[in-house]
Amino acid sequence: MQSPRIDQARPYLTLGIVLLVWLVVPTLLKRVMRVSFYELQAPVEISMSYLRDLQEFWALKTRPKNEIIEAARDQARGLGAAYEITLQENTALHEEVSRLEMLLRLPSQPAYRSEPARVVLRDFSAWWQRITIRKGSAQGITVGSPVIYAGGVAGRVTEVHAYTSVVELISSPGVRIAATFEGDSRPISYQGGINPPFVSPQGRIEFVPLDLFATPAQPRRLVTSGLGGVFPAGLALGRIMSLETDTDGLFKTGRVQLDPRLSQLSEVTVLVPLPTAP
Amino acid sequence: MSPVIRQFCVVSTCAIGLALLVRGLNHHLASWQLNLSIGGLLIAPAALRLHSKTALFSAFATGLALDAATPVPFGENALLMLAATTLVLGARHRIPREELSVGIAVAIVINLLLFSARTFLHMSDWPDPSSGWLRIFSDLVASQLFIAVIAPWFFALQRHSLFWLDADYSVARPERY
Repeated sequence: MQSPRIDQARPYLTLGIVLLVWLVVPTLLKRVMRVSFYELQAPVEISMSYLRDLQEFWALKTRPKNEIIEAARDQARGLGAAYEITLQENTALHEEVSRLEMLLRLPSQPAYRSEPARVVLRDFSAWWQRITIRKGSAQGITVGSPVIYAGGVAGRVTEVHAYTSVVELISSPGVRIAATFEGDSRPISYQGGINPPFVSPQGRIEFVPLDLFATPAQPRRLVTSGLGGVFPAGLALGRIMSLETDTDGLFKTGRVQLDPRLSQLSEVTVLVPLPTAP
Repeated sequence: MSPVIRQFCVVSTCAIGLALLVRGLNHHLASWQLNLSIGGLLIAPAALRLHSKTALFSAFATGLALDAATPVPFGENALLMLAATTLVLGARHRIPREELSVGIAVAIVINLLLFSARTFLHMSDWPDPSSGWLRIFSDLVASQLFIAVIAPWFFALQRHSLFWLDADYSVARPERY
């Protein structure tokens, strides 16, 4: 019979052995285990999201049809005409861009296919801000694809699984995007921020030229620059609320307020890059 | 099926099930920028009351399940939870581990340790480390309160699951520590 002292040391011994074994386990095996553990849990999360959708459906069913129709009609009133004009402008602008590309012999802009997807899960911790969407490699989603929503850029796809994908949001501290002030072509650096509780998601900008200004009374819009090749140019990121000169006096640093809807996403669109013609 | 494997299956299923439920809850809390972390509660019942092998294996498996769903190096949560379980196993013969209040206290303390370890491991990723403490503090307080509220239910769930699935060997096989 072993002494109680040896018995008590056994868990520490086990910990040491597991640690050593884990360090020498091949990366490929760890990758397989990670994918297996993820795919085992994925059906539960997807089922939960379908249940939430069903719950929403039944909640709407309890309301009178007239009320829902009136609400939709109010929302659509005026929007239809505005969308029609925007569509016409969009077509004209596309033609103009194609003409200029041909005249100046510029490489054509990357083309995207839109893939709408429901949000399965939101995971907003202090260290990362991610969502899981209900579309994966089976629907042609690729790692790095930009993701947009009604308020502008939502983030980019960082992981693709069989039927789900993980999107890192622009509010995540690990995200960096080349951006510009609306109406200005000089690139600046945007980074997701640390998001305090009970406030809208935030980000910060760096390397802002000294002649640009923004205050809470007169905020400026921040849009994607198109540099880096991930996000198309001109997509909304947020509003610059304040700018401060850096300690070295060469650039400014500022705070960006992101759209509050980013914390409540239930549907997004993935822009899947189309293969370019050789 | 050997007793240890049977207990491991029951305990790990309960823990991973709770982790999935909390992930669903975090989905709704996301609009308030709050996030619950309950690693301490997932391992406390097994670490306090079950065979050491069961506790260690289930902590590692639960940690791997958490690792698969978070953007951390695979194995980080598993090794942290394994270390926390080892600490509890080393100290449990000195405390009245069958008491529910002790179980809740251990879950809260272990959760604090895991939360602190994770904060220090990932603090370098923040753009401005000095501004993140409010968020960390609010997440920690919310998590600890949540654990204090649901721990009695989770302890009971594990005990009843072991009993119903014929895996409760605590009476037949008393442990030395």
